[in-house]
Amino acid sequence: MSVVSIKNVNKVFGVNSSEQVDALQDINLEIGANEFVSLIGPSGCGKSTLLRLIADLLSPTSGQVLVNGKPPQQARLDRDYGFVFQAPTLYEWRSVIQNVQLPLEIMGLPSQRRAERAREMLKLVELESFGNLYPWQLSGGMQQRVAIARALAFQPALLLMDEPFGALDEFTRERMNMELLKIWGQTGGTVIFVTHSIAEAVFLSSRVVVMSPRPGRVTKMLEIDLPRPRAFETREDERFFAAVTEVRESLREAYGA
Amino acid sequence: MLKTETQATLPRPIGGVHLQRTLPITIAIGMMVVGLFIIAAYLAMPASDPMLVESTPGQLAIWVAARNKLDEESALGTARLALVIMSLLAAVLPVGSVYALVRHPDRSRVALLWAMLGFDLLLLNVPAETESALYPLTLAGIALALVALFVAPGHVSRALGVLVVISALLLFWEAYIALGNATGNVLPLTDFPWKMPHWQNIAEQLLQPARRNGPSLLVSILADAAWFTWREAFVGFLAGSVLGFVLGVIFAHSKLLERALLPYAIASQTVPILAIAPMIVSALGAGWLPVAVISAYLTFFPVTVNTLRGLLSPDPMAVELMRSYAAPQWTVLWKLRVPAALPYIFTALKVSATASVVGAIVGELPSSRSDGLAAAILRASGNYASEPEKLWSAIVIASLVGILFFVAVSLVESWVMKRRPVAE
Repeated sequence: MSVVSIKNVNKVFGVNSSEQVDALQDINLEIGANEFVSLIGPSGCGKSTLLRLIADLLSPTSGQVLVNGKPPQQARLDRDYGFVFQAPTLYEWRSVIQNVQLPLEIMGLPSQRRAERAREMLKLVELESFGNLYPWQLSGGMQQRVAIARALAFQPALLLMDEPFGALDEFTRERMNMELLKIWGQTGGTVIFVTHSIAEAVFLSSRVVVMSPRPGRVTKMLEIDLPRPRAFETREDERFFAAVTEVRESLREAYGA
Repeated sequence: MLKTETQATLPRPIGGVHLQRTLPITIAIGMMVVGLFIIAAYLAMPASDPMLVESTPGQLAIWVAARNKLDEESALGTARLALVIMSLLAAVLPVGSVYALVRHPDRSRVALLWAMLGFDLLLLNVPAETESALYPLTLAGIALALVALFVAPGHVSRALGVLVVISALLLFWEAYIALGNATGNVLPLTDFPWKMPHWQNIAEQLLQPARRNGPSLLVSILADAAWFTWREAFVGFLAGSVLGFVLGVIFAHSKLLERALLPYAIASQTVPILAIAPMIVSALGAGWLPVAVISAYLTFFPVTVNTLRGLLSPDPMAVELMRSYAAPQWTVLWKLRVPAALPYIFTALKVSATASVVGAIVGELPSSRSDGLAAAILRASGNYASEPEKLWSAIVIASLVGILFFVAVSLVESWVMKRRPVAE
């Protein structure tokens, strides 16, 4: 069974208004268990919208989205996924460890279990000694790692990431990519990752979904069969360059069409 | 996001490096000379000198001596000691500031500020209506300190800004009286029956019995009245804040109720409180309740508006995060919206703290409560022509109640917010 199944989905913003925008048109996508899928495309291609449909932060205008075989709303109520936003979105009045505990509090875990889990998660993102600091005392990359720890705290089998490293500099982003793969190697599960960086998409993913704008459509799917575990050397591999070129060509085709 | 030093309260030092050092050093030495002269004068004068007898501590000493059947001369000796200590502040601290100007220019303003406070204290204590040079010298000391603070380099704190303004006001007040006297009392508020008193007279009045040969000082009677009024204001403040908060929460969750009710909340604030206060009193009967209600009436509105703004302030992603956790409304309110609104709410609470005191005083008027500040102010303004100091004493105490309430709320705020980044 697919973890995420999207059939004939359309999304129109501002229906029946003069500023009607076709954000997504006729999207079909199946994502299986333990896949790492990147959605890539230029701004306005609807990749974030698609992710929000899966997360039930938006509803499709027509078509069907299923998450673990359920409507997205049910999946959200069942807490089937963790979501990482573009910005860390940490609550500034909570310490780092309290931020990681937030979902566990809402889900009603006993406080001792919460603290244990949060510590494990901080260890996973290598911030175990920063638990008592406050978000504004951390760098942008560290803040986003806290956000990842928070998203993983309740062990969802599906992780949705919306350009999580978009605001970071190139060097930090590459390091965060390594971290993310390491974490994924430990936790497993399915990741859907929105990005506009070709190198990032190729480096991380088992599959890259290329999208085109106005209206947002899926124009191509590329399997990335670079060996795992991937490391810094992967970026210097010829197959990596080949895959990057392929994605770039697909994006250009999508634009040209 | 990190705390930046407030440099805006006073202008940065003007002039070049030369002016930045030598001018304030010269002025500080001038202040020192003035202070030393005042010390010498107080040490040299006999205990019967009017400058000692008529001074604020002198008058207080005479009252204490009379009540406790003590020797008046030794009591005046204590008063002399108090005056000398104040002049010492004014004379010695400029030395510290000269040292600071030479070695630690960044800290030079602190010593100057304390020296200025020494002169301010002297102004409240040195009798004004005599031929002696001590009073004009005190004014000169304050003026010198203000100029020195203005040109000296160094960090400007909020306290410095506030105290500089107070000192400047004292100085202008006294200068205005002097100008009035010099021009034959044609200026407003310089002639009977609405004559501005000297600040020394106000300070002296506060430290004299409220009634001739009465048992308690005016300041303690006014303090009792202030405590009485503050308790009413506090009840009103609490009730108004809770009401304001609840309305804010309701408006944040219901567009319909916000559209329907917020205009009336605004309208309620345009109704002159003086007009409806008597109705509230007659509806609720005399007592503390109508006063607290009027106080709450002036309190709730800023809290409502700021709570509403604050509850709607979280970033859309912060709200979506809660949605992704399938968090119930109640959880979103307590774990996201209210914490995010706290800075807004505290801003409103500080405004409301002072407004609640004004509300309580206004509320006391029609309810004829004779123990509060309103009654004290009414009594004093009836006798303004003969004793203008009493009204000003009441005004000073009433203002202090509002200011202290404001400061108390600010302290609670900084305690609650101590973990947050300081806003720019």
